[in-house]
Amino acid sequence: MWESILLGFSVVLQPINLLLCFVGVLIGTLIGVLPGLGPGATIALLFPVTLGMAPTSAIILLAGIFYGAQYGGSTTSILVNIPGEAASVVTCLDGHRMALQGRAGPALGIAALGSFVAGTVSVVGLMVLAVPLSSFALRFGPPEYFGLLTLGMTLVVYLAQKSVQKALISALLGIFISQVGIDQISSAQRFTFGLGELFDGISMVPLVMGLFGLGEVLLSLERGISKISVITHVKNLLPNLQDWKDSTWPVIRGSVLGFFLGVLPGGGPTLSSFASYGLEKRLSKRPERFGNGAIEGVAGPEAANNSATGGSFVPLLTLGVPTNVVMALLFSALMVHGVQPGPLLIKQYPDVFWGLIISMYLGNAILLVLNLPLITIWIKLLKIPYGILFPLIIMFTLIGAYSERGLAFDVFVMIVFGVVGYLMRKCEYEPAPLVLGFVLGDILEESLRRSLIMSDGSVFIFFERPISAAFLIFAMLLLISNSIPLLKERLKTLEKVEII
Amino acid sequence: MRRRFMKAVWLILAVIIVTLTNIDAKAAEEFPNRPIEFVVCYPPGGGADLSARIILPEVEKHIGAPIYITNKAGGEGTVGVSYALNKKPDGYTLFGLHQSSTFVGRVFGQLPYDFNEIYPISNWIDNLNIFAAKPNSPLKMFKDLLEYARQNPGKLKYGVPSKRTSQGIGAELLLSDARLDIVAVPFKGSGPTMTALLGGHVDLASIPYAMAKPHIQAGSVRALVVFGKKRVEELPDVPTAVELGYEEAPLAIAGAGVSAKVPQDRIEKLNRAFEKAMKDPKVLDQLRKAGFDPVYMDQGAFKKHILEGVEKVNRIKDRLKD
Repeated sequence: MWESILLGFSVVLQPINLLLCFVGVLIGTLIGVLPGLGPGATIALLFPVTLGMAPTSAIILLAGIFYGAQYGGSTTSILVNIPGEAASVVTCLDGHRMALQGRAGPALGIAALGSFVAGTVSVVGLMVLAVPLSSFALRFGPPEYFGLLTLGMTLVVYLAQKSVQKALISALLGIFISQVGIDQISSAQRFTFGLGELFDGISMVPLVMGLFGLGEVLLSLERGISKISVITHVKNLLPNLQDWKDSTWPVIRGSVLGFFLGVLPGGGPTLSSFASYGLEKRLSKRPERFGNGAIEGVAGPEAANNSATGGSFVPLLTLGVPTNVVMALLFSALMVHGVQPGPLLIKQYPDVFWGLIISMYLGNAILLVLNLPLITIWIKLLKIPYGILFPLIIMFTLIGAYSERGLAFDVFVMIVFGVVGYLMRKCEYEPAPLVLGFVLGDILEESLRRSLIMSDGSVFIFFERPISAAFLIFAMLLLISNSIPLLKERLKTLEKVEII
Repeated sequence: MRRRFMKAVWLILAVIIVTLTNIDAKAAEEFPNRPIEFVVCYPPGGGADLSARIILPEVEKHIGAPIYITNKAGGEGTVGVSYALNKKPDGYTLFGLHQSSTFVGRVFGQLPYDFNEIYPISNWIDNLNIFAAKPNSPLKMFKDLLEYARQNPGKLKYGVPSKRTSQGIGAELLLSDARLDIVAVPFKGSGPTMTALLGGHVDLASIPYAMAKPHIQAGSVRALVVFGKKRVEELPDVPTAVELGYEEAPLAIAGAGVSAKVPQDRIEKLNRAFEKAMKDPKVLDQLRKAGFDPVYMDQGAFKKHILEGVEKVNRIKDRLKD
């Protein structure tokens, strides 16, 4: 083990690799901060450049862009309520609230530090657990996913700030929207109206940018600009002692949870940030603070989605199976250089494996050093008058919505969801459960149908398999424990009515 | 002072006019004299995008004009083609072609443009697809599969990345020819299909050879049959569907097209540039290493291939429907 780590350091500490690691995370931070520009597009553009490099150098650069982007993703969520991707939607809930209370500094600070801790945890996880975890991940077939996602859906309860019923309605709307497009299993078109732009479904980026960024801007305009300008007084730049105390455990829990969920392909990082939020709210002694600027609500999910990034390397490096676009690009980058990712990678190319892992560790440290001083600059952005800031936000959301697929159609989608987000806020429906339903809805349905195809239509498949049975029972218990207080309340009001 | 200023303005205007007229004069002369747009019909980062980014820099050298890529994703590859066909047919807009935007889309009536408006320039890559099983499965060879599936219809399940991919079409064509009843379990992409096979959640899987290769080497997956007619070099013992007496599966398509209304001399220039690039050993090597299986088809072969694809997919249309 120690020898391998030393090997990793000897690879990374070569000046060219150090430089590429730095360049990678720098580019990553920049595209992470700009909403809508994803690491996928950036890596695709840079891919031809890496053809001339050594394989280790190429993957160090490209991986740096990937996890660097996850770091920067929280910045716009906190400052202007624009999540760049689904994984940072949860960060908006309390992060932006903190910014409105003048605590953007601590929110950004804890996001950066939490991400650093998470990055470290996931690197250690990769070193120690990569191989055993890959066989664990293989035990997840369609029924197991169905169990896990059902459990994930119960998180809706924790995303509700005021009314659980409204949160459920919002989540159902999200599930409905996720059904748009060509069905993966039967290849039938659903709700596409024959529009080619809808064949692949509604895109994630325009949806979240509309619901959050544009929706928030519309609502702020209605409320009047004077009322919300309190944001200009900034209390402190870094988290204080109390913030640290509140965040330590959420960060650790989020890191571990995120890493394990990240290993599972399909919705890993997004689910991990929602799950961490739910977990922290459940464990908190004062859950009512969540949604009103609780720092745990930023610390946990941010740690979780960064750690999930590390976890998502496991299937690529140990099984040779890329689980998302970025991993597919890294897969090709390695292949072009004659390095075959898969079960033999660690043995055949220890320098690539260990070089990558140690570079991720150094990259995380570089990111921390890079991001902490940036906080002062970001906070100054909040002093920009709204007359200038709002048009800028709108411009960035428009560019972001367009750039993913290059379609003007997605800009309209974004605007429609901006209006939907505005109306939802006005009627006190929260948009976060909608996103959860949207992200999990179609994979939940597909895994249900796949399981039933596997079992020739028998539902017992979910209970014959221990992992899926455990998830389903756990989900049921959670639902019961959450509905008891609601039922009691209901009974009380009923009794009162009877007495009257 | 003012006079001088006016002089400068006149001078600049004159320069602009001269250059503009020059450009115009040149435009009539030769094609191409300005950058060419290549529309990749999938988002950046996927296989369609990546192969284009490897090949186009080489085409650029031979055509003598810069080529830039725009990504217009959606409609299973048809939105980008519509976008390109709506532009002036002057040869400055090329687009990527795939099964779904050509023969599969045609069979299922999903093309928002006239099929004959596409002029296929060249095909670049094919997917070598295989039927694979776990090594501990009793299905050691294709013969075992035949016997077992005939005796137990509907019992075996195979994973596939959606039925209308080249993996799905290859498998269904073979199953239809061999009259086997094996149930398809469609997954989202070849990655999840691969993990489902590795985890033993399905008995078989129809997957790209590039993805199965490391597992075949490590002994965690066994190939039973290769779709198509040519054997895989590294798997000398694995028969092809054609050798077993079944029909050849239509090759996967990832290639380039242009509007059929473009003047013939321009199309010829494009054809030659693509041909030269696709015969360059360096490009072929890079494609191979990136996990693609390069096959060059010129416009005639490509067109014929697409029409055959229509015919073959039509035959198994019902199997791809449910």
